[in-house]
Amino acid sequence: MITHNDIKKQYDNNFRKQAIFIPILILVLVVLAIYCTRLGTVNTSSRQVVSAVINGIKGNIEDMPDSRNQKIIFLLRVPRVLMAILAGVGLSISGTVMQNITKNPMVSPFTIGISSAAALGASIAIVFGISFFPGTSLGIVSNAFISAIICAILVYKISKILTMSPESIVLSGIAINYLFSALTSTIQFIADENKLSAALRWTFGSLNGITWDQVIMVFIVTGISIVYFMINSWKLNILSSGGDEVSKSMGINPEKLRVSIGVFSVLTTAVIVSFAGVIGFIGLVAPHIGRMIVGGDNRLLIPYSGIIGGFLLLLSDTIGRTIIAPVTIPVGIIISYLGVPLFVHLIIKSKKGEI
Amino acid sequence: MLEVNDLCFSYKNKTVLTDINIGIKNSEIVCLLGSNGAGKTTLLKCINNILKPSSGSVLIEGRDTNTYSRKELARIFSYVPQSYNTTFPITVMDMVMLGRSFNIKFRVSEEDKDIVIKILGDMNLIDLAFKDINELSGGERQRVLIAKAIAQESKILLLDEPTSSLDMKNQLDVLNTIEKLSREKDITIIMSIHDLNLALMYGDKFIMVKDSKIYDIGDMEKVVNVENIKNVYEIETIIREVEDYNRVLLKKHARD
Ligand SMILES: Nc1ncnc2c1ncn2[C@@H]1O[C@H](COP(=O)(O)OP(=O)(O)OP(=O)(O)O)[C@@H](O)[C@H]1O
Ligand SMILES: [Mg+2]
Repeated sequence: MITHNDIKKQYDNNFRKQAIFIPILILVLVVLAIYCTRLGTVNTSSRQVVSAVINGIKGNIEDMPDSRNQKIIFLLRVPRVLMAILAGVGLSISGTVMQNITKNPMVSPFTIGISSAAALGASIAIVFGISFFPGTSLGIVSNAFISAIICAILVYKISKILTMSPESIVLSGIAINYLFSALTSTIQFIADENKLSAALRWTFGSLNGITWDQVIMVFIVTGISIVYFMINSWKLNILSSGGDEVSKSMGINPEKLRVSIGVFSVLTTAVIVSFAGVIGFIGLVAPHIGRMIVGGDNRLLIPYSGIIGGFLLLLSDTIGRTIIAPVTIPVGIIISYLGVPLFVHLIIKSKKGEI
Repeated sequence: MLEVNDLCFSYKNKTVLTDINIGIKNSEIVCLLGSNGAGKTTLLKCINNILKPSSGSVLIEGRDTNTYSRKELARIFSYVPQSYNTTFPITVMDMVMLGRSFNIKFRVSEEDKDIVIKILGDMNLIDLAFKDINELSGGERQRVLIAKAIAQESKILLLDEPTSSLDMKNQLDVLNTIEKLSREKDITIIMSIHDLNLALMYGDKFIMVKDSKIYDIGDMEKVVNVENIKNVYEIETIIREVEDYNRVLLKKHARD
């Protein structure tokens, strides 16, 4: 006979057990990040990494005896490692909330067109030199950002005409995705060879040449989004657990929640994609793995998928830049090689009921 | 006191409700009767303002529901839809806990847990508390949704065919729980229901809907009689009193 208190205890335990892992996983991620920073053409020690970061922040790297190595660590590797984690976190939490507001587990920043729109903007800058800052990387980034936002507005406008239902967002997103991809292909088709390879490299998604400024910007945007999503995590539970009519009867305004959550997830995606290029798979796979571990409760799912995304992208990028060093393979390629088998494996296992 | 005044509703250009007038006293159990497509579901949704009536009004204690915010309305009405599907995994207890949302921003209080577990017990759901709702049978899921609506602790419970997929024991258990709730906590129940015998056992007031209008409204004797049933459902019946309740017996359709 199960008693009232048994149930209460189990309910508390379930939540606590999963919540307690969040800080532990973050700690493991930090340690892994330090380890990954050590790796590269010049291998270094953890102590060197930590002291390079401290000296870099203090601004006295130049005075150090091994200033060349410390500079490599502080100016090249650390921002790159941080960006890998932040991009993984940002794309994954954006994917999670997008899936929730559209009630569709197949949705990610990639599938509803945001990423391909950013790719189009970047291609325009690279191939035609058309941007606010022609010929600079800032030009590429700003173009990518602007067209991601335009895409989001288009998706919003079309789905608004179609009543802002989950289906309408997904449908218009998919349609727009095809349009932007076609436009990008057209541009690549007519581009000359030099520019083509630059444009293509960008569509692979790569963390080459990431700077501290970019890291800080992504950190701020992703940080704000995490806070906003967590504040609204219970509302997201209501929204994703049933139809809009039921959400309304529980005091939620589904359209308003969709728009506000959508704005933050699009901004996060746009900022990341405009610096790092198109990294496709992560926004789909991280929420899935998260759901297999903690279920659908967004209070746990959002942090979990963020952390999983951070792990996956950090590992992918580290493999990409060390496996056949000094050549680096773009992270967008590695994540698919790493993520797809993992994903398929997990899905098969969970369907067999082994998870 | 709930009043529906001259309410009309249409989907695009299809009129589904015309000139609906209803008065319902607090803690009454009201049964909405009528054939498929008569407009019962639509009427329930208009009452709690999920659908905006094209004209007319719904008043709660004399105040128009349009002047309430969604949050306030959620404290007055809870609603169980006729059908429901979920995409993402969620346990039975988490689902019922969503009913407590008016009290939860992020953290679930001890009181919320106690109330939810008590309701799980009433609805025969204790053994399923940590099961994923997507892995339940239709009847089990229906009980979860009713439990969630009860957890909302609103003054008026709107139930769209609450017993449609339940076995006979659960039909009685669920309706007993609802009746008890109504008697003990003065909660008004408005439910659409196709089983006339269950309606007769639990209802205080009956509304028959036909062709987008109210065909008849009132107590058992006035509404649920052989003639009304023939006009609304197009079937022949016999009504007999057995053990304190009127029972509706169906006659088989004559073969042509
Ligand atoms: N979203 C909609 N758009 C257009 N017409 C609709 C919509 N929903 C219902 N209708 C129509 O409105 C009428 C009333 O439907 P409603 O769902 O209210 O009937 P009901 O009495 O609940 O029937 P049932 O007993 O089958 O549940 C039906 O003719 C139906 O076809
Ligand atoms: Mg109906």
